[in-house]
Amino acid sequence: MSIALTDPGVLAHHRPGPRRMRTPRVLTVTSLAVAVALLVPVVFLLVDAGQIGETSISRLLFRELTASLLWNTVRLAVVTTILCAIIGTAAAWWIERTTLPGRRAWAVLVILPAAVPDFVIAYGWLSAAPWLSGYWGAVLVMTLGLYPLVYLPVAASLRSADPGQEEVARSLGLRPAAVFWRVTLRQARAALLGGCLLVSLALLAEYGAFEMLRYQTFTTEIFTEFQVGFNAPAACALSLVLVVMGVIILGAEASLPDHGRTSRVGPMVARRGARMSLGQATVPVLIALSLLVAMALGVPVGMITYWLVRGGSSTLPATTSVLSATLYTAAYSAAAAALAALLALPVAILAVRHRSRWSRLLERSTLLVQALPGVVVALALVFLGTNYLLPLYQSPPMLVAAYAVLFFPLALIAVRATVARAPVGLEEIARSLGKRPLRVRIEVTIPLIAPGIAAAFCLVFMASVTELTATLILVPTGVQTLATQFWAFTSNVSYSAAAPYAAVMIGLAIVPALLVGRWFSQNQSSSATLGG
Amino acid sequence: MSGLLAEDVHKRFGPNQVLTGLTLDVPAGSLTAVLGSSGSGKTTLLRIIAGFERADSGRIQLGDAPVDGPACFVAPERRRIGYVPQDGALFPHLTVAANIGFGITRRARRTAKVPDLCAMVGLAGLERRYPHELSGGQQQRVALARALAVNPTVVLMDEPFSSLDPAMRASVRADVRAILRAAGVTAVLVTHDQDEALSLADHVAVLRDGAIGQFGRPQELYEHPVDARMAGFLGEANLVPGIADGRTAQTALGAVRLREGLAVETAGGSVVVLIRPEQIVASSNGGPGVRGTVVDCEYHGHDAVLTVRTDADGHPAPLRARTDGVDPIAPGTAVTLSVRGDVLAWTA
Repeated sequence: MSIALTDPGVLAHHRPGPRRMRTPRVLTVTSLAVAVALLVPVVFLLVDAGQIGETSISRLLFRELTASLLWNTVRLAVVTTILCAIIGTAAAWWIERTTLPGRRAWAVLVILPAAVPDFVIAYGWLSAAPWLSGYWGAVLVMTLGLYPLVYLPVAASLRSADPGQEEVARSLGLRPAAVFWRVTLRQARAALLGGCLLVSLALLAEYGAFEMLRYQTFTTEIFTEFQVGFNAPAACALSLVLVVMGVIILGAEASLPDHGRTSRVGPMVARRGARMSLGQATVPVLIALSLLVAMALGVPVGMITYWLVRGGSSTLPATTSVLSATLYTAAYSAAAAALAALLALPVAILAVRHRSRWSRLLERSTLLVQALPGVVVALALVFLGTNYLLPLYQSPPMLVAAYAVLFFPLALIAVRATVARAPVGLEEIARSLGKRPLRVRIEVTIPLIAPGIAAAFCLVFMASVTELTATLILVPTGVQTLATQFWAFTSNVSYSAAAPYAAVMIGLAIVPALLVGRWFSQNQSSSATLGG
Repeated sequence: MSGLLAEDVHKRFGPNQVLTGLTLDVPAGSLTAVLGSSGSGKTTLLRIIAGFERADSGRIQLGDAPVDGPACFVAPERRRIGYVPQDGALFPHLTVAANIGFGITRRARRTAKVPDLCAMVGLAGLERRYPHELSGGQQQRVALARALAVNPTVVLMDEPFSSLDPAMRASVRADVRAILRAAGVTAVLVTHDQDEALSLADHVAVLRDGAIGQFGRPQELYEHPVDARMAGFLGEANLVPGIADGRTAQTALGAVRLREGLAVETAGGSVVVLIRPEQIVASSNGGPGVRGTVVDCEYHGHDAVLTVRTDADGHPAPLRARTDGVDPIAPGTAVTLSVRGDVLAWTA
């Protein structure tokens, strides 16, 4: 050995190239397994489509209905996303950067609509204004339901952005409006784009609210073809279009230049800049925010209360009690939340700690699930269940799996942000102190990222409680969840019978929503990572 | 005996060749400072020794045990290295006691070891505090105690004092040195502060261009730098052009005496002469020497450094001269300059 080392010629034979640090095999294998599991629905959708045949697909797609669905979906997505961007950014700026009275209360009130399912907002508005329907009804309801998706990341990024930049801009002679456009908005840009991405993907996926408002999009049509017309091939063909649209939106956002370049140079000091005085605009801003909260929160909550107080009888007998629906909903959602957080863990650690072309590709492929609306995932799982796993079809594990797949990206975003913030130096120190890699993960990494895991759980739990589309298709035989029972009643216009289910649903979702709101306000780097 | 040996270590990050055949032999039980400017690869070297990175080629040996080489790589947790990073990197979710006891077995934790270490670094009574309840200096001491707890073969410290405020730095430095001495452990400290390296370490290794440019005791390095660039790196240096002639050289400051045994003595011709600021005597009450004018005076209290422009044509660049702080010479004053002691010179 010593001879070999002193002889340079022999030494050279020992180096085929740069030596590499090895990525732990357990991590690679589990992450790969997660990615494969998540992509199963896409694969089965394609297999399903393959069985229909190319000519049938083109016959199903190239018809007038498709064009009108496309037009409906696009014009709704564009207008609603823009409205959400404006409302979300304005509210975030007012609350985070100005001397608005009652900022703390507003900060809670404006995110609460995130806990109210969109179909419950539609229910509230429809029972208050029965004439509301069609395009503008859909724009109104969806804007009110989805603007928190812009507000949360933008507010977090405004809070963490370097106030020094604004101060420097002011000192260089820029007026406040110019500072807002050229500095503040630049700082929040990645967060804003990430929020808009979430809004447009949510619009592609929404079913319940549009069905109530009688507005036809791809998702409602797919659902109708499958559930009412029992036309699986048509549903599958239309799903392909929906997936392609989702992938286009994802790709467009990912390809934008300077994506996520919001970091500040130097230490991350938690210094806050001076807030801007609203001056004479204070009263109009207060009125605007009150109106927003009244419309997004007041109307649905008010109408639920109205129906609860008024009571009334339904011609449709309840197949389940509120209590049992609550227990089932909570159990399925908690299981899905735990599963999604668990699955996100290896992928997040691999993506942040072992950066390579492979790990990035793997992470990206799991985020692709964002482009899959609930109805598509549900259809793919139905196909999988009826053809290959019949015992699992319409069983609780399948519903839980559907939730976990659907909301995996939420879990990944939350966990990834905390892994990225946990200093890698601490893990290295732990290893130099004699701990094996797995022990380091357990004793150092997990405690450090526990808040992120909790946030992931809350996000997925909240999303699962309020999920309707996939639940309607996959709900286990003989079971009703809060969402499906609510839906059964409202479909029958039994608004008062539906009210308790909506109330419990909001109650279940509101606690995690508040926790997640708190997490966002503490987690400074989440804004840049939100939206992949 | 060698405590730590790095041999012909290469490391590149993408297009950046950071280490190019670095060789460093640290004597066992000594404190060696690796001095380098920022971006010179100091931290990379420590990370390779600790096993957080792998060398592209070359060999690392701790004591007699090879830990990184063409055919072997020992994982960080098997190297018994005490690593003290710049910011201390204490585990925020653990108390001081739990931090210190992190690397030792559960049984050893129940003995007096943790309290003993706590006392050793002067933190007795703070065992139950959390890192955020400690000052920067205290955190640094906990980090050192944590590193020492595992009876390391080598302690590595990455700019351990740079995050401390200057007033505290000196005392923490002295404490750390005393603690390391008492523990009798081989230690490597990287720093960009030449003052820190010279005053603290038994040996200094200067890292430049991806390799060790010079290794030796602090005084050796300061007095015998291998070349003019090294001289500038190890403290303030006036590099004055001159013509060598036997044991003397003619410069803008007049004839200066060359140190014995220099290569230029026999070669002659044009040379670069190193004159340290403390070798230049500036006098405001006339006397022999070259005339000049004080342009600036940096007052440090214990001493003062003058910037002087000479009237001589040969050396237009201003010279730096150290005087005592008792009666500093004001800018604008005319002075005469002379050189005391032998000087170093290299062929230009």
